[in-house]
Amino acid sequence: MKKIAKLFLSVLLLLLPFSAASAHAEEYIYVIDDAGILTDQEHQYLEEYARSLSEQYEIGVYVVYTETMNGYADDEYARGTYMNYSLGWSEGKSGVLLAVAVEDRYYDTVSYGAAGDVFDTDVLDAIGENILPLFQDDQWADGAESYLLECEAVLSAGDYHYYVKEYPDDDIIDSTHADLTPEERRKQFFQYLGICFLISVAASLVINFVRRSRLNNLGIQRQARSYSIGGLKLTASNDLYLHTTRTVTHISRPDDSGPGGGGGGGSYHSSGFTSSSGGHHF
Amino acid sequence: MPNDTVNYTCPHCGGPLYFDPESQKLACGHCGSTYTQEEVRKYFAEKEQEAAKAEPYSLTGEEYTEEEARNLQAYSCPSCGARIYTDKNTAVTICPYCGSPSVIESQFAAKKPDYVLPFQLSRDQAVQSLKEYCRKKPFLPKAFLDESRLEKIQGVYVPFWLFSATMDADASYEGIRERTYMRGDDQITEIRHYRLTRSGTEDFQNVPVDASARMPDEYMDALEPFDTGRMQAFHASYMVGYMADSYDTGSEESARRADERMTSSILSDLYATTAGFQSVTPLAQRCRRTRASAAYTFYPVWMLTASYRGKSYLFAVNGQSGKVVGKLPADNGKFVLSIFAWHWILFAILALIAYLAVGKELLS
Repeated sequence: MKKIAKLFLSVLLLLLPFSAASAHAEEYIYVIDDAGILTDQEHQYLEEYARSLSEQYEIGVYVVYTETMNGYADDEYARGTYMNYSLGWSEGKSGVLLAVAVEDRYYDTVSYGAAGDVFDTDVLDAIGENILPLFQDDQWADGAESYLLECEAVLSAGDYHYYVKEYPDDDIIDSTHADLTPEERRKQFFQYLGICFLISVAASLVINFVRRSRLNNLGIQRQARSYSIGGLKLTASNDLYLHTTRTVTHISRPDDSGPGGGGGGGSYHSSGFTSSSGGHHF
Repeated sequence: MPNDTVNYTCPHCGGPLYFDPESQKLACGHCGSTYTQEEVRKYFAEKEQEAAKAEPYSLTGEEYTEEEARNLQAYSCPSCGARIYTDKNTAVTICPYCGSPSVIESQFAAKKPDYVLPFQLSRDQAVQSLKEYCRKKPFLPKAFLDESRLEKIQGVYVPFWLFSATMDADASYEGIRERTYMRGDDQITEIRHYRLTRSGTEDFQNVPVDASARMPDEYMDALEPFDTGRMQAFHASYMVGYMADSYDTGSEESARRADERMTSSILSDLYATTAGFQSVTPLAQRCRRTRASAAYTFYPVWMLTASYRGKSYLFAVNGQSGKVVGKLPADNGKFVLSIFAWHWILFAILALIAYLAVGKELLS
């Protein structure tokens, strides 16, 4: 069954150009505004602030604005967004995130990896409480700035240091769930169903036209093989080597993603997250 | 002047004889007497000698144009004396007045047929073969089996040329062997080019090409194969009770189709010897025919015409194997329904596989 599933998936992947990859603006990797609510100046200011904190303390300090919760439940939203945007500092993917769903008017915070040592549930709850009034007044940039200030205060206390946390292997979160939001996954499944529909139409037409062709067995013979006595007698056979052509294609290997920004490759572990005790609807 | 027509009647009672495929003997439809080929040959030898010497009737009068006259021949039925007109190629027919089978011997005078493949299948068996053929067909209107009416069933000896030849062929190809491997960060694709040359010879025996312009090639070709192992030296007595035309397409003209088939076969056999290369492109191919011969032969075919809702459908049945060829009507409603049914069944299966393979995970 696994083999069939694998084969089926590879056929679908061949037919379906992947469109579900999340789009990040390269220059804004710490503050991502997919809801389009920040001005350029606000965005640039917040990005520089978050970047300076991140690089100084070797931790990813992130703010992500999305239009909706992308199909996540309240308690999954921040965690799912963290993985969906491939966030985290370096190999250990250490980081803290403020995720804001603008249209759904919901936000939550979460930390991952070593960041969880200082951004524990109590700290995340406190940060969340403090920014609630600002988001209630639609002060999106001020809310983010307040969050960054809170993060700076926690980090400057000096209790945080970066390291790669170890997790049991069976905690690994499946890459499909990590990379795609529930909405994207649902959309992808319906795209697969669309492909199944087209395949079944084509196969049905082929099968039925082949069956229909059995009503007419007239035809002109093009071969005389059944009248051959003893088959072909080969009297001469020669394979002469002429020359070789050689084409060299350089395959560039993907570079290491480096320490900053999004976490790049690698997987997330379910036990690596530290969540707040609950997000806020505002 | 002797009559040019031999009337095969029973030496015992004078009733009409016919060739019985089951007993492979000539039988009398009136008194039931049966005769072997030897007995009939001996009895009718004298009659046939006279008939062979006979001059064919020429047409006179003003009612036919020259072209019409060229396509007609007349003969007198030796049994009842009726004057019967047929087209110029008819060699064996049945008198429409008295039902006596007659062989027009002069039709075989220009080129004596070499062989005849006697009927192995009776008329009833031919009809049964057609019914069997129809029973297994999808999209055939159900009413076709109930409402269609067999209008005409006729056993016909169809003239064929059987070509035997040795074909010699030479061919050259460009062959390519390709391999891809990695060296460091470089992917290297290496293509080795070869010039392949092949020569070969192949013997073909009894490649059939129908020699009657009125018989559609697509029907006659589709009737193959015939078992030539059962061929007999030609004798007119085999034709009794069936229709037959003499050939109207000469061996030279028919040879083109046989050559095409033999050439195509030897070249594809030659091409098959180039296995082991990823790609083989023919550069030059040449064929020669040597030691060629053609035999004039009659093959047994049952022609059946069925009418269904105002349209006629022609079928041919191999008089030896019972193979049926023809074009059946299609029920377009059934066809469209089947497309929908198959589509939804396949979609349900694929959707289930998609759900089990990826959907379960995606939707969780």
